[in-house]
Amino acid sequence: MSNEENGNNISRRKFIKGVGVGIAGSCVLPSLEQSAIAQAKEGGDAVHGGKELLSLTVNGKPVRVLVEPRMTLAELLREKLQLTGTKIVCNQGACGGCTVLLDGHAVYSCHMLALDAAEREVTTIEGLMTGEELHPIQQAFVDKDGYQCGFCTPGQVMAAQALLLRHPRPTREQVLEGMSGNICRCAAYPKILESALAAAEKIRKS
Amino acid sequence: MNHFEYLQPTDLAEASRLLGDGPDEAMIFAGGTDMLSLLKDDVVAPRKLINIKGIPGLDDIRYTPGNGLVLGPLVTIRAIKENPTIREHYPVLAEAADVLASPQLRNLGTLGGNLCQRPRCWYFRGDFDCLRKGGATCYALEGRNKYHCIIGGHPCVIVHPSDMAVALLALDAKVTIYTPEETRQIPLNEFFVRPAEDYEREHVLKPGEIMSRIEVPAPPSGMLSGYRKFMERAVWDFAVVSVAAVFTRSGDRITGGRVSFGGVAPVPWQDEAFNRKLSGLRLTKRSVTDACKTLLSGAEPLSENAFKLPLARNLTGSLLLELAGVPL
Amino acid sequence: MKPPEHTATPGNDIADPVARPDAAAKCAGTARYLADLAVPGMLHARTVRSTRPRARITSRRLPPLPAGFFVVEARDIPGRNRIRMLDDDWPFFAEDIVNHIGEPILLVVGPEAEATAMIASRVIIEYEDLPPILSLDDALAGLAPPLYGEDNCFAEYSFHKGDLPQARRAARQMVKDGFSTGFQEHLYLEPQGVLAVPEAGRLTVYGSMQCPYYVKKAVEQAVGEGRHHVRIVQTVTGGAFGGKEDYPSLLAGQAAVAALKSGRPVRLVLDRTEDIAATTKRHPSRIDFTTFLDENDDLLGMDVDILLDGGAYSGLSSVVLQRAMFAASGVYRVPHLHVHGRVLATNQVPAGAFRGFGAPQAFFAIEMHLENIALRLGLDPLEYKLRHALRRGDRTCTDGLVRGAVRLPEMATRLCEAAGYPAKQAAYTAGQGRYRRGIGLSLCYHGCGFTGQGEELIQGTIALHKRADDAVEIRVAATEMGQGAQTVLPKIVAHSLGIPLDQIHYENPDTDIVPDSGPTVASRTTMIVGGLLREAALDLKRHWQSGRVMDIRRTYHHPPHIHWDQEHFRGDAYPEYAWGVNVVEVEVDLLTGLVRVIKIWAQFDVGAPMDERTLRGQMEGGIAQGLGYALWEKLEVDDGRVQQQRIRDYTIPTFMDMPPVESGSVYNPYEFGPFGAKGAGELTLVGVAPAVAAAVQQAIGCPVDMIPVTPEMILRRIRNRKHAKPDSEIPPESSPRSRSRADT
Repeated sequence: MSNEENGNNISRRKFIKGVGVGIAGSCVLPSLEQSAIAQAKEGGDAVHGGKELLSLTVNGKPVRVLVEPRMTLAELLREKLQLTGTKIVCNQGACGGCTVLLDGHAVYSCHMLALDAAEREVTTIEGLMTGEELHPIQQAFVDKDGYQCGFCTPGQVMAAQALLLRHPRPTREQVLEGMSGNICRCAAYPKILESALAAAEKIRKS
Repeated sequence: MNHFEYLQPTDLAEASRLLGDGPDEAMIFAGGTDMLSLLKDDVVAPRKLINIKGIPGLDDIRYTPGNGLVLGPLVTIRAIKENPTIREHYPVLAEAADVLASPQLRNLGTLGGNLCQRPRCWYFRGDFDCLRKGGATCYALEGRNKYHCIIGGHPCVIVHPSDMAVALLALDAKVTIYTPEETRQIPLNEFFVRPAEDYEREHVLKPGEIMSRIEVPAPPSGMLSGYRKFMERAVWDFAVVSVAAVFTRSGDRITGGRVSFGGVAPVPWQDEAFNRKLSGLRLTKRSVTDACKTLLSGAEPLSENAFKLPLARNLTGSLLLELAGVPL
Repeated sequence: MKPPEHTATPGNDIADPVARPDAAAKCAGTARYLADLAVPGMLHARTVRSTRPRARITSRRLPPLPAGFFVVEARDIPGRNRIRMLDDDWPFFAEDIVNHIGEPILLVVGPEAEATAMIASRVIIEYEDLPPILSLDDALAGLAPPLYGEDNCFAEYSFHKGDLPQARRAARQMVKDGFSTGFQEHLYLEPQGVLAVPEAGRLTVYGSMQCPYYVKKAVEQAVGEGRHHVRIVQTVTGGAFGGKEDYPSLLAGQAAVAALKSGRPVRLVLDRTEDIAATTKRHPSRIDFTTFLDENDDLLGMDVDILLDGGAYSGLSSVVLQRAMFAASGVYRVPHLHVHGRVLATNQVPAGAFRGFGAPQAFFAIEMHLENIALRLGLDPLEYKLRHALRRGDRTCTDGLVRGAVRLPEMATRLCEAAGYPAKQAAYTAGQGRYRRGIGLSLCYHGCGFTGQGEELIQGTIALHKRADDAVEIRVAATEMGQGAQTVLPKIVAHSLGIPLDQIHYENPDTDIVPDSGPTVASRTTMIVGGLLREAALDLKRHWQSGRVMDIRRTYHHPPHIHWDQEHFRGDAYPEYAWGVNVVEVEVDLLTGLVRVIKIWAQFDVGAPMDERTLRGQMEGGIAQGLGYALWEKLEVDDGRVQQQRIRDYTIPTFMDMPPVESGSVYNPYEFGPFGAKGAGELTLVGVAPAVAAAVQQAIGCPVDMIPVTPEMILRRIRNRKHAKPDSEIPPESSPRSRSRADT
C-alpha cells in the first residue's frame, strides 16, 4: 500500500503543472473546444482568478477542461461533465452520497478539489454500466432491493465497487467497514449489505 | 468559498517561499479533507493554496528496528491503517487510524493534515465571530459545550480533534519542521499551542514553515499499546474522549509508560502527574482504578460536559487493564 | 432477517416480491432528481433568511445587482402572501416581522448560482428585536407578547371518556409520570428543491414533494387564484418522511413568483445547512400522566396532558396534536380518561409532519408509563400490558369501536418467545459488572388514513385510464418517495384486473393529468388510494373491452359504519388501525454510558402486505429512524438558532450502528382495504423509542424519561444514583431498580 503511494502517484503528480491562462488559449491546447477557450479568457479577470487546465480520466475517457481551482470534483462531474448520477447531499464529506472512485479507491467527490484529481482516474456510477447493461453490482442492488429513495444509491454502489475491488470475497465485517462511509436515511442497510454480498457472488461466478 | 490560486511546488524550499506571510496569503493543501470544510465554511480564505503532494518523499513510511518509525506528513491514514509493520510494532497508531473518520476520508486524509487540522467546535465552524476567529467571545463557554474541553481551556474551550496526535503523543513522537533557514525537530507535545498562549492557532508552525517528518522512537521490547476512542456512533464521529496508552511491564507492575488524551483539552493532553505514577503501578483492578481516580484532577468541566471526566478515567482504567490482560 | 411470517395465505400471492419499477434507474444513477434538472435559460434562486428569532425588519439593503439579477420579496407576490395550509398564518416571505431564525425574507435570483449566493450573502437586513419566545418554558411563562392569537396556542383540545373524577375517587393507587422528547430532523438525503417554469398562460412547478395538490393550492394562492393555470409535477423524490408534506408549498410559491417576475424558469434548491436550519421538524413534547389503579391494580382512569412545541407557524400542528392525543392512552383499555393537549407557538423553526405525526411522542410516553406502573407493582410488563390491551369489540380512547381482530397478544407472545423476553427480563434486572443488558418491549398502533374528519374532507379521487393498447394508467396524486408506492399500487391494479404487471403504468404525478387522490401521508396510500384503485380496477374488469379507451374514476367515502364527531372528538378517529410490537435488547457500558443495541425484534399487523420485500424495507427503515430518535438524533435550538446544522453534527444511524433486525408481519386483513391491506409506513417507527428506552432503563437501573438517551445522560443518572460513593468510577455491584423520577 505505502509502496504504491510512494511510487506511482508521486511520479505521475510530478508533471502536473498549473498552466497559466494566457498560455492555455494560444499554444498548449489546440484540442480544447472554443467555448472552453472563451471561458478561460473570461476567467482571466482579476475578480475571478485564473482557471487551470485539468486533465484526468473519467470513466475511461480522457478529459481536458479548464476549471476554477476551487471547483470540487463533484461540481466538475455534475456541472461540467453532466454526470449527475453523483449526488451532492451534505457537501462536507459526511454522508457518502458523492462517492466516486479515484484510482480505484472510494473518495468523497464533494470534498476534494477537482484539480486534486489531475492525471488520475475517476470512475463514477455512469462508468459502471456497459451500454444499457447494468454492472453486476448495480444489478445486485436491483435484485436485492438495496435502496429505497435512491438518492444515496449511486454512492452506495460506488462504495461497494471500491470494496469489491479490494476484497473480491468480502466477509460480512469487511462489507460493513467498507460501506461504513455511506449513510442511508431510508436505512436500507440490511438490504444494501445483502446487495454487496450478492454482487461479490455474481462477479465471482461470471 | 473564496477564489484562490492553486500552486504546486516540487520541493520544500519552493513551497515554503510560496507560503509567504501566513494563512491569509497562502495555506498548505494536502489531503484536503479539513481544508475543504474550512474553505466552504469561510473559516479561512487564503489567496493561494499550496498543494504539496508534488514534493517527493513526503509520503514515506520507514521503519528501522532499533531506530523506530519515520512517517512523512503525506502518509494517508489508510496507509497507516493498512501497514502491517505499524500494526505489529505500534498497535496504538494503527488502532487510532482504524477508528478515524470513514473509509473515504482515510483514503485522502494525511497524517500531517490530521495533526494540523483546525478545531471542530461548532461555533468556530459556524457563523459566529468567535474568539479563535478574531472575535471577542468564546461562545461555547455559555453555549452548547458537550463536546468541548474540560481542562486547559480558557480563554477558548475547543478540543483538539486529532486521533493520530493522541497516539503519537503517547509514543513520544517528534516532529521535524522545515524552515528556510534550518530544519528543526521538536517533541510533539511542543508542537501544539494552548489557548492561554495564543488562542488563534493550534500549532507552532510559523509562516513558511512546513511539517516535513514525524519520528516515532523504537518501541522498547514488550511494549504494550492501545487506543480507545469513545464516540457515539460507530463511524465518522470525532472523539468525545479518547485515550492512548503505551507502557512496558514487568510481572504485574508497569515499568514505564505514558497515557495521553483526546477530546478533553485544546491540545492532545497528558497528565504529567499521572504518567509519573504509572511507573511502578500494579496492574490490578483495584490499584489501577484507584490511580485513575485522580486523573485529570485539575479538570473544570463546563455546563454540559462533566461526564467527560468519569469517561476519561473509566476509559483509561479499562484500557490499561485490557492491555495487561487483567479481567475487568 | 427472516421473511415475514403468516402471509402465505391463499389468495395473498400479491405479497410475493416483484422487481420495483424504479429500481433500475435509481441503481444506474440515471434517475433525475430535482437538482439534476436544468432547463435552458434557467435562473437560480438563493434565500436571504432572518438571523433573528423575533424582530421587526427596519431596513433591507441590497448590494448593487448586476444585469440579470433581481430580488423577490413579499411585495412581489401577486396573490396572497400566505401559504395555504390548515391555518392562515404562515407567509411565503416575511413582511415586517420575522418570527424565527431561518425564515425567508427574500430571494436573490440570477443566471449564475454562485454569484446569486454571493449577492445573497451581501444583503443587509436591519432589525429591531422584539421579545422572543425561545422555548416551551418561555411560552408557558407568557412573558413575551403572544406570537399567535391571544393565548399563543396554535391549538388546544380536550376530550373525555367515562367519568374520570369518579375514577379518581374510587382509585386505590395513583401513579404520576412525565416524559419529554426533542426535535427530530428528517434528514431526507435529497434536499428540498423546486423548479418553476413559466409558459404562456401557465406555470409549471417541478419539485421533490409528497403532496402535489397541496403545492398546487399554495402556488395558486401565491400567484393569484385563477390568474394562471398552475401545474405541479413531482420529480423523483429522494426521501421525505413527512418533511416534504408541508415545506414544498412554501418553496414552490416562492419560485413561482420569481418565475412570473422574470418570465424565466427559476430553480430553488436548498443547501444542506439551510434545509436543516429552516425546514420543519418533529414537534418536541412534554407528556404527563396521572393514572388511577383499582383494587386489582388495573387501569381505572388516566389523565393525560400533552404539550407540543409548534415553532413559529401553525402549519400542520393542530392535526399532529390530534394524532398525539388519540394515541395518549396507547393500545390500552382505560375506562375513564381525560386527555388535554396544546401546541404552543415559539420563535423557533416551525414543527410539522414527520413519519408518525405526533404518535411517536405519545407512544414513547404511554409505553414507558405502563412499563413503570407494571414494575412498580412488581409485575411483568408484558403481562400487564397485554392484560389491558384493546380487543375486538372494545372502545378506543375516543369511544370508537375496535372492529377488527386485535392480534397483539399472539404477536407479542411469539415475539417475546423469539427474543427470550421473559427470561431476559427477569435475569437482566439483577445484572452485574461493567456491561449491563436490558430488554424492553412496546405495543403500539397507528391509525391508518387521515385523523378524524380528514378523509371525508379531502375526498380523494383516483382514475384509471385504459389505453387502446389495453395498457392501464394509474392516475393518482400519490408520490413515490422511496416507500414503494410505485411498486404496490400497480400490483393492486394488476392483481385486480388479472393482467400482467408490465401492462400497468404509473408515472410521477402531474396535476394536469391526475385527480387529487389526496396527499401521500398518514399511512393512507395503500389502504385508501389502493382501495379506490382496486374498486376502480374491478369495475374496469367488469366492463373491459379490449382495444377501447376507457376511463374510470372513484372518490373516497368512509365505509358507512365509521362515525366521527369532530367537535367532541368522539367516535372512530381512524378508519382502521395497524398494530405493532417491538422488543429491543441493549447492552450498556456503565463505564462510558454507551448503548449497544444487540437486536431488535418486531412484528406488525398491516392487514396484508402488498409486497413482502417492500414491507421489509419499511420495517427496517422505520425501525432505524426510531432508533435514531431514541439514541442519537439530538437537535437543539438555542436562542432560536438550530445548533446542529450539519450532517456531521446531527447524527443519524450509520451502517455500523444498524443492529440486526428480525421483523415480520401477521395476516389480519381489513375488510375495506385492498386485498386486506392497512397502512405500514409510519407504524414501524412509532414503537421503537419506548422499547429502547425501557431496555436502557432496565440495564442502568435508573429511570429514562426523555429521549434521546445519550451517554452523558446515562452517566449522569448512574452517578446521581450512587451519590453515596461519589469517588467511585467503577459501577456498583448491583443495581436495584429505582423508581424515582428525579434527575440531576
